[in-house]
Amino acid sequence: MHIVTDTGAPVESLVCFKTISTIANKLLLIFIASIQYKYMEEKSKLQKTAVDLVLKYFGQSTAEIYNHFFDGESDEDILASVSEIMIEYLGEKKAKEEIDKYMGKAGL
Amino acid sequence: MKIRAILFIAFFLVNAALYIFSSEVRGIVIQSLSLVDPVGAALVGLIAATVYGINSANGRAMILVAAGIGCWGIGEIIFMVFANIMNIDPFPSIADVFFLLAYPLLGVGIYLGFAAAEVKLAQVKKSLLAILLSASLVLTVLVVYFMLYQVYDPEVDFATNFVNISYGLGDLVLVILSFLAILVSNEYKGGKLGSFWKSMALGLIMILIADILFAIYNEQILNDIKPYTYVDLFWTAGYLFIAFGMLESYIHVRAVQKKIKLKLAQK
Repeated sequence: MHIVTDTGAPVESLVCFKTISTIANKLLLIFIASIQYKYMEEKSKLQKTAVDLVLKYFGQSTAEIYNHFFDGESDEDILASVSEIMIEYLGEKKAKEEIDKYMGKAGL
Repeated sequence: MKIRAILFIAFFLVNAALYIFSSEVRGIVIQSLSLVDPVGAALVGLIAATVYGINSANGRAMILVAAGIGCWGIGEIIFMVFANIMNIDPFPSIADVFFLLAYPLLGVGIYLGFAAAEVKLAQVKKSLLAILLSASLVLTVLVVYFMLYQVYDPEVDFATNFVNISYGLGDLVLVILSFLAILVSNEYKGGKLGSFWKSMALGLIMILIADILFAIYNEQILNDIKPYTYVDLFWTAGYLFIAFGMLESYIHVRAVQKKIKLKLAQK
């Protein structure tokens, strides 16, 4: 004896559909999470690189303040902040060289 | 910065006035006052180094430079106590150990700063290199002649000759360090760090000139004959340039920290 749904389809097909949709949902969530993770990883990489640069020239205490300040900042803002202090401290030419070198090393 | 620069110039002028109007430059009063310069510069350097810490190349360089200047300060204190209070001939003495110890400390400190700057010689203007090499050559010839060749005396003991020649060798190192400091300042042209290295280079050159003039006019200076005694003012200027550079560097980093803390508080 076959149990059928309201539309007359066998109940197994409904179970199968639900399973597929659950799996698809989970895959979608994993996909979204991986994109978010990738974004966060890249952002923290940029933050880490910027903090390393500050550490090299300004020392530990300034680097710690900047690390805190960079939390939640966009890539553009981090780059703008680090460029501003580096240009003032190292001069335009050297600051550009150092930022390019550090970002290049970090693959950014 | 302008006010601080004026204060440093005023301090130098007060020193100069004391030398010009005092009848006894090598007396205890002027010599005690002149201790303020190296001791003050060393203290400013140590305070400036605290803001960087040892994790940055600048911090390490500044600690070593401050320690080097501090050794000169300790040497000056011992020299002054021996010469003016205990009436003991201060040369050669334990003071020389401190005077000479300053050279390796300054050498390593400035080399660390130079290494961190990653100066590309190929990118340095040929005209600047030519001027630097010519000036270094002139200073080297003067140091070799007056501080190495002329100081050797076969009639005095080994220790005296050894100390005398060590000063000459130390000053040859100082020629190289001045050269490196100028290259580093050129590397950071337009930046606050460039200004710091410019002050450092000027300070080292002043000290080098003072050392050379002291070697040339040693007798006149020790016998308190003017205007030879004014040579001391080159040391004063040297210490003041170095102290000014380190102070400005410290103030700049503090200002950067304050600014970012303020932004952080507004977040």
